[in-house]
Amino acid sequence: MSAGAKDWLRQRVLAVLLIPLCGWLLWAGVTLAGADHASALAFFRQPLNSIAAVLLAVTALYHTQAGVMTMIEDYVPAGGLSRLLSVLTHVGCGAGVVVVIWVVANTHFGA
Amino acid sequence: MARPFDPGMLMSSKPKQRPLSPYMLGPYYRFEFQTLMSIGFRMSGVFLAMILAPLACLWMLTLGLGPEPFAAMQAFMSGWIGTAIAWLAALAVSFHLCAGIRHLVWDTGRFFSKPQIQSTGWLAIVATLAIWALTLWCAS
Repeated sequence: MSAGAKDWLRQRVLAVLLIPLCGWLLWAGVTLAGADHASALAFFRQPLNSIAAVLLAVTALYHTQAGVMTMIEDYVPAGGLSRLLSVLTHVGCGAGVVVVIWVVANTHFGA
Repeated sequence: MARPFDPGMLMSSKPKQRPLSPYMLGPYYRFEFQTLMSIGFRMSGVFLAMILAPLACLWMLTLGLGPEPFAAMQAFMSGWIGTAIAWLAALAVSFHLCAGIRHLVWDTGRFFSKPQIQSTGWLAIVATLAIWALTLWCAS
């Protein structure tokens, strides 16, 4: 399979995964609205919520990165600015994944 | 017919003029329902990438940093700006989800006829409003 076809397929597989994860996101948002610190931590300590949060962070932020890269290609002329935006997009999405994994891991192994 | 070789082209700093597909808005396409669906799909995606994703990551960060930063974040989210963002984010998630499923179905080559594009578009809008209303109802 060519690199382009692999990329296409990877994006579609992640998009299909995002369907149930979007449902979880809406439910989590409703559940965690107004929650205090201890109950929010307890929420993410639940195994299914831990898995959903990490899976959502990885798939949604990969999807975000791919989407924002398309916006940059479509609307920002190739050059220094588009390269800067591309780097910011990748760093930002990567940092988001790290934050979510760190917080979820802390609820299990943290002090 | 091949153009005669122009050595100046190799030296030119100007990018080569390549044909582009016409921009969706403007004189080339009629503005219709499907145009609106396409723009809405993009705009909801941009909103999710620019507003919801950074905000959700910041929310998780404050959760990891401790009770005080988290309480400040929750206080902001309960205020009218936070509530408005949350409602809009729920709408953007619902719409991007439904319109995205429509795109995934198209990727399998199905539902491509003109009437099907109309009907699945309206179905996506109705499903969006249903999911949004359900979410807001559960939140209230």
